[in-house]
Amino acid sequence: MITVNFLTFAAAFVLFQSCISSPTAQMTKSALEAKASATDESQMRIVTKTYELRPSLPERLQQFSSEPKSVDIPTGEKKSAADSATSSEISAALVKNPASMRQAIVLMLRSERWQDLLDESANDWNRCLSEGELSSERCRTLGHVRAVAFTRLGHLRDALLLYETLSSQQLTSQDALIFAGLLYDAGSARLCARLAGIGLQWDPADHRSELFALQAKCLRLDGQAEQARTTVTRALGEYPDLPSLKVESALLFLSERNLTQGCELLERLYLQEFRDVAVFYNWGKCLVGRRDSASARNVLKNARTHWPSERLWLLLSGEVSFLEGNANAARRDGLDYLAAAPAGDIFRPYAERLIRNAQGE
Amino acid sequence: MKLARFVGSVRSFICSSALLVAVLCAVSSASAQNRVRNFEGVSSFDLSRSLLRDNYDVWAGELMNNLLVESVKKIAPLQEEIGRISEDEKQLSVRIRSRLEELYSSPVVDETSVRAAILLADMSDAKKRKEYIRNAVRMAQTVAPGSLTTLRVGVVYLSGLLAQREFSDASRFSPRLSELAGQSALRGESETCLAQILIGDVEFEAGNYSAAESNYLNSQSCWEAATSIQSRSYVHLLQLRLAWSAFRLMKYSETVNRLEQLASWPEWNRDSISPALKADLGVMLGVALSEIAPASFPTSWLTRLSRDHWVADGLIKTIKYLIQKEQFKQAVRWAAVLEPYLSIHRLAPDYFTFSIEALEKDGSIESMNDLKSRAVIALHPHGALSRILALDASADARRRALLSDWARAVISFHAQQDVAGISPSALGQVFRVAESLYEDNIDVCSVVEPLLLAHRTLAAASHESFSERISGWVTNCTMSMRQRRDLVLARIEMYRALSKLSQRDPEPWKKYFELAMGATGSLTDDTEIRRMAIELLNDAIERRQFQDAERIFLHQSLSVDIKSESSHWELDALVAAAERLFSLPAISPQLQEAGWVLQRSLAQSSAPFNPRRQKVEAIIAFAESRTAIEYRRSGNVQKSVSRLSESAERFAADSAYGRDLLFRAVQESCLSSLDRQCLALSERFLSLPSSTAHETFLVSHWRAELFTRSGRFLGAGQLWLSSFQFALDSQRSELIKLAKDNVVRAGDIFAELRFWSEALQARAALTKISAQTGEVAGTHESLLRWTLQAAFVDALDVAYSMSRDLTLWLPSENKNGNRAQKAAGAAEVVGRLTESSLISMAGGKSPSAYRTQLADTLKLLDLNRGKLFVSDRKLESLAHRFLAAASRHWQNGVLEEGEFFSRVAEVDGLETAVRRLADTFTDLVGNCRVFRKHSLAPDCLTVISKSYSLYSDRIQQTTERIGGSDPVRLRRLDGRLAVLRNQVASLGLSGADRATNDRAPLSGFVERRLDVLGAEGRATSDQRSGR
Repeated sequence: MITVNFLTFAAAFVLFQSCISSPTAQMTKSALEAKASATDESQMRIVTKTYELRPSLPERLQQFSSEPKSVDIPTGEKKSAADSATSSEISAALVKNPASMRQAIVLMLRSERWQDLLDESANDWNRCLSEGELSSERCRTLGHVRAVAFTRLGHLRDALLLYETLSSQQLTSQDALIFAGLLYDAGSARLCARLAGIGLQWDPADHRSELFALQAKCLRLDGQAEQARTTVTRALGEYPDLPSLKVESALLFLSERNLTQGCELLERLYLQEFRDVAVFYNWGKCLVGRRDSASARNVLKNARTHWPSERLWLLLSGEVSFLEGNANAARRDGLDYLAAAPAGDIFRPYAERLIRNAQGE
Repeated sequence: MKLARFVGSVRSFICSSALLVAVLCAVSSASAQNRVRNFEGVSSFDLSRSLLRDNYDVWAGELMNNLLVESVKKIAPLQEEIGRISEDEKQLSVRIRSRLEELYSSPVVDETSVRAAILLADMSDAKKRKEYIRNAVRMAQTVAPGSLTTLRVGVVYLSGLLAQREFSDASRFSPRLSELAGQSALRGESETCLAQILIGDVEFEAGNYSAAESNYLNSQSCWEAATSIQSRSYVHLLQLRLAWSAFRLMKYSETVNRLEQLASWPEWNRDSISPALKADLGVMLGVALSEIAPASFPTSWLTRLSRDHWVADGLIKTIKYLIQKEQFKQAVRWAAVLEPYLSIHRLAPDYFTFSIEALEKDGSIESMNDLKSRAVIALHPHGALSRILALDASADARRRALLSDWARAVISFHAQQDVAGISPSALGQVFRVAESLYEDNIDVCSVVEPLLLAHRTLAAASHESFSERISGWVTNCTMSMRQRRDLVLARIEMYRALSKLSQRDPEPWKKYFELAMGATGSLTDDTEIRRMAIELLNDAIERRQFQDAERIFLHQSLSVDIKSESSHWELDALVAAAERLFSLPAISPQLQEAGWVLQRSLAQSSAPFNPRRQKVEAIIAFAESRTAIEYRRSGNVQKSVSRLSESAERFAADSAYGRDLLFRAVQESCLSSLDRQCLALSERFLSLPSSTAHETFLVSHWRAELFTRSGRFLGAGQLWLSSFQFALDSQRSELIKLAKDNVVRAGDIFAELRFWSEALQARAALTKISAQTGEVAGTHESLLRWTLQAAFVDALDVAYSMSRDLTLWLPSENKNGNRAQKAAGAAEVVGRLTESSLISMAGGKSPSAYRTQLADTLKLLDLNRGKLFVSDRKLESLAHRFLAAASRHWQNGVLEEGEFFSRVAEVDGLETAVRRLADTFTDLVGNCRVFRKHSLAPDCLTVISKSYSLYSDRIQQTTERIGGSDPVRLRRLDGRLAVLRNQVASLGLSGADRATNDRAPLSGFVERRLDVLGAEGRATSDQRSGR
């Protein structure tokens, strides 16, 4: 019995590892593509949660979202934030009234017309470059927004280059947070971890907890488990109640093959209703490993309530179905996942294996 | 008349004994003879005239008075009578004269007629007077021949003739008078003595000097016998004539003796002698003494100098005539004897004039200048002599002229001398001379030039008090620039010498410095002043007055005309001074500023390779570096960096030293993590046009390190890639090694971020470095790593490009020997595998090579206990992942091959296919054993299961086709099937018999083993890769 449980947990661990470590970059890419087409409020939340793995962008969005709900457009007409201002109007506001830049950016971000945003702000950005005003708040904000737009459009290279340009001025810890997230998205956990560490040295008061979490994640994904554990321990010392650090700690336990502690921590987070895709998915996998299909089904149901568009639930659903002996359902879920999986999706082998298992091969 | 007299004088001279002397002298010096001759001619004329004119008036007057007194007495009754008639004096005078005319004109000639003539002569003008006197003489001879009155009238007449210079009449009358005087009746009468004098004078005038002397001697005898109270004065006059005649007869000793007798007579009324006569006496004495020229000076004269002006005059003339006779030494000697007496005499100017001339002609220049000095001092405007001379305007003017001339000469003389050779007393004299000149001129500025000369001499001799007084006199004068410069320079030089003499006394140095600085301020463009300033600078350094040195250095650096050819020496001197000043332990900001001034000037006017400019720049750069080092040692690195960068900024853009400083600033800031400075300075440095390769590389390297520190990984990577060529150009092995490491880091970053074009650039850079240096350590691993990273994200084109000639970059030691036995051989084997795999994946070429490489890799992996790149964790992880991917690809290949052979229909072909499938299956099983052992391929057993089913089916199918016709072939097939079973059994598939005909149990077993092995393998793999 003990052996069975160990094996079960070992199998679960493999799945955890697959989902948590190296596949995340690919997950980001798919998430970005999903984000590119997201339009409604619920999708926005999902995207935000998905970006938990890259906390930089939601932080920026949250910051802009806290701006006033109205903005002065040169026409003198008041428009609410909910209104969808046209790109040309926003652009005009940017050019004629630089003071309203931030508000205009808020509108742009909410409008999610990323390509339009890039096009409309190109002249302003070029002016920032040619006039050497990169250090101004206006130009820096504009640069960040363009970086967000590039990221949303999947142009990570452009986003990275833009941040390099912004980096010619003194970076803030917030910049480091964003830039590290971009590096992570681009596939370099090693550089992500380094930059997060650098950001922690700049101005510790700002974004410290986020930087800790990101650094720990990137260290873990770069295979530097020991350093990651050190970071997490230190971070939890400073922020003992921060859920994102707890999630990272749990995932680190799993990668350290400490399945018991990892799953216990995930369970507590789940019970505390910490809404996080990684928590739900990995807790579900823990339950599959424990062969507790009923609880796993509940987690799956709950997860789908929160993130109905998340395709990872197909894999989890397949695992649960296979555990319940429903090979056809498992095979179908695997095939559904593969149908929309992009090339290089790290979950593809696991979906294929699910299908083979379901087919009895 | 004068000419005739002159000719007579010459004739008499020729006839005299002096002729012989003159002829003898002419042998030795013709010019001297001429001078004496001229003197004789002129002086004889002047002498005779002076004597006559002086005496005749006196004598005639006296006699006329006597005669008139007597005549008036005789005619008094007439006057009384006339007076009674009219009291009108005018009328009386007319009537008396009328009566006298009547008496004179009366046909009756008597004594009254004579007296009337005498009275009328007294009342008439000169012309009438002569006539009256001549008639009086004629009437007296008629009335009373041989009487005293006749003698008297004759004397008056002759005196008048001589006075009027009517010598022919005098000569005609002279015998008659001689006759009268010779009458015995008149013997003892003073008029007789007088007559002899006059007769002697007539002879003298006629050039009969002997006759004249004879008459004079007779007269002398006559006077000695006379009883007249006036005889003594006549003796004096006679003595004069005797001296005179002796002089004319060239009896110089007698002349001198007679003159000495004259001078010795205290009762002689010297005021009665006219100035002209005195002058003649002087001339006579001078000539006579100079002619005698005794070996020793006749000192008896010295006591008579003060009493008789003519004596002094004569003695002075003695010097003069000695000079004319070219007896310079004697003149000098005598002048020296006379100096105490004559230097305060009113004739001192004459004395000095001739004494100086004597010394000059004697060649005693120094003595001459000494005497001039004494003369100037004697002629000092506030001296006693000057007060005497001031009474006579011309004498005073002459004094002033002489003073000025001699003072200038003295000053000029000393100015031309070496100061060291001038005695202290002479220096004192120079000052007193200058002082005399100053005191004697109301407008001191009119004599500013000699005063400046004197000042220069005294200053050069470090005579501070004297020179400063002179300086004070001329300060307010308008001087030329040159004069003012010379004055200042002299003062400066004096204080410079004083400061050197008294090293411990700060005052001379202070004065020296103040003066010099003042001069440099007001006469900046003067070359001499600039030379002086340089000397001051060097002196200040020698004296360790560094603050002063800095001031003058700054001033000169600011004002030097860099472009002028004539300033080269100054620039050299400034550079040399800078070299010394900047080598001091402490350098003040002022000095550094001064150095910058000089540097800037040079930079603006000269090329970068100009040696002088380079030297200055080196000095300043060294000093700036030293200052920066001090800052750094005290812990203020930021200040050190600022200092270096600011210094670099101040150099010209083309300056190598500026570049060096900037380089050091970059180095210090970057290595001290002064990021902001490092960023700005490195950017500035990299924009310089003429940096060396190694500097450019290092700055790029530090800048990239900064980028890395601040998270700008892309910028760092690009900088590493753009700078490696500089390391190659520098040909410095340590830099090349560093560049290689940087390129590897860049490649890692770009490969991680999938910036493939940059990653390929990194590949090009890395291979270039490796090719050029032959240093390939790590090259292969890096290229392999990037290749694998590209391959994992399906960037096969990039991976293919990246892996081209991958194994060429293996270290040479791996290419020989048994590579499989070496852990390092993994690089080669995996490299070959990668190359083959990518070729195979990309185009399906060389599948056999791919298979061979995979087998080799697996053997190596097994041999090395699952490790390939122990020292490179990342590469190890990548290699395992790639090996897993390669194994999957190979497995697919195996399955495809099995499918291919399964379609063979002929028996022979079937058997061949079975054999090959069996061999392949053997490979598959062997490889799967390794995969399983090292957890590389979780799906391996699935493939084995599939392959086993496939092969066993093919064997069974082949067996059925063969049937029992060929038992040998069937046995061979059974054997192959047995081998398959054994191989499956070796994997733990125990029921080989079951497997033979029952796929399902085998498949189920494999499925279970898959779960276990997969979980274990995954865990092992994660552990190995550090996850």
